[in-house]
Amino acid sequence: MKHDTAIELLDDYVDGELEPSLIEALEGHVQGCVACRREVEGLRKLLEDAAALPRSIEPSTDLWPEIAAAALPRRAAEAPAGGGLLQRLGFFSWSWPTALATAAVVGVLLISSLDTGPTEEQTAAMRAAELAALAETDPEAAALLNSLEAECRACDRELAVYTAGQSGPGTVSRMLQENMPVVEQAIAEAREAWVESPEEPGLARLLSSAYRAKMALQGRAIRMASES
Amino acid sequence: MHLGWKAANGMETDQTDLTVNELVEQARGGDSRAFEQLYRLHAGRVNALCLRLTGDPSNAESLTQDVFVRVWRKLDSYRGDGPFAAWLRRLAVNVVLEDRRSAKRESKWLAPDGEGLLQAGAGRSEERPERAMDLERAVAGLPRGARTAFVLHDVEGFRHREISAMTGLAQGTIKAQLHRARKLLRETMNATTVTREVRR
Repeated sequence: MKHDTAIELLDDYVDGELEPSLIEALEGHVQGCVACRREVEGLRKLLEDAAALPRSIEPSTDLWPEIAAAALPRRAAEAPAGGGLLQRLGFFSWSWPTALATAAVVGVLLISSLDTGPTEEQTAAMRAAELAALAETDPEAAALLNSLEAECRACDRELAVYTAGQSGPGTVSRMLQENMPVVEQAIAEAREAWVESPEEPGLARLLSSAYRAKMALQGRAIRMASES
Repeated sequence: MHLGWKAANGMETDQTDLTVNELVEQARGGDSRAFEQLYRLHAGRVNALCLRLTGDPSNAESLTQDVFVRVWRKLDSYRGDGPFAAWLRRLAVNVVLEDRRSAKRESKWLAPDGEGLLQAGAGRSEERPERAMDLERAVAGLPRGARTAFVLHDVEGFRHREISAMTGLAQGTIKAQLHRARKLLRETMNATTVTREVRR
């Protein structure tokens, strides 16, 4: 085999993909050709080095919160009728007695964590007025905000259905009482900032994350109750 | 759960395969906790692939996010006729290549210098041999087509025809890009070795 031909076949040879009929002739040439022997050694060393590279390089930060925020609600929205927050949180993968008891605990705790501020009607009227004002300057932002709030209201209604007339224990209660006000405050502050400056895309994202955090907290409460 | 280091490195045993498949089934049913487990098992593997194809840690992490969002939406299309990790890797490559084609992020794909990739692994630099770091830097410095061919074939282990199907390029083109990549890498690695020996 001529050197020029051999050189062109060396990649396939080291990859083990050379046609069997050519192997003998190529090996015959390589044995007597210093340049080709070096080429084969160099290629094999490179492949060894490539195979030794780490297979896994962890991201510098935990990407899960962003992935969950972007993916999970969308999947839930595509779910068949009847699927909602609880399904999104894996609720229906539990046995029904556990799920119902857990939801009861969480619902009562959420209701009991309400403060004594404006009534629901007052808050709703205030938010509707803000939304109307926002819609005049930025209809798209108003639509997104409306959609997020509607989703949260739907979650509350869904929980209420499962929790009517139930009661529950203390560990989850404390967790919710400690964390829910922080999340609610984050929502309120992000919402206020966004209504004031809807042109800031970072604020929309912040508000969206705050709403997702609320849902994540509810989910954590359900899981804690189910494991206790 | 039987989730060991082999799964974390993408080398799944039969037992781990069973567990991963169970997680996939649960995630398909809407169980976000199962999906989170799948993410935690495979995030490093997907990130490494994105990182080597882009040479840019920030872009790679953004793409890793995109990959898992896409996984969640497409879980129903995973038929279970092969390892989940292999399906995930193909999906990840498609996400990266689609992103590359979009003009939106085109600027992020220009001329990576390899430093970003090395910084991404800086936390583990003591564990990474000098030669591996030299190779990472050299790979990141390859022209885009050659880098893609090398990463997909020599690092990820895809066959020429698989790369051809994913990239839409002829197998002959892939082979030519791979040959070029290997030649450039060996030249760079040899030069680096000589420089290092001279300094010593």
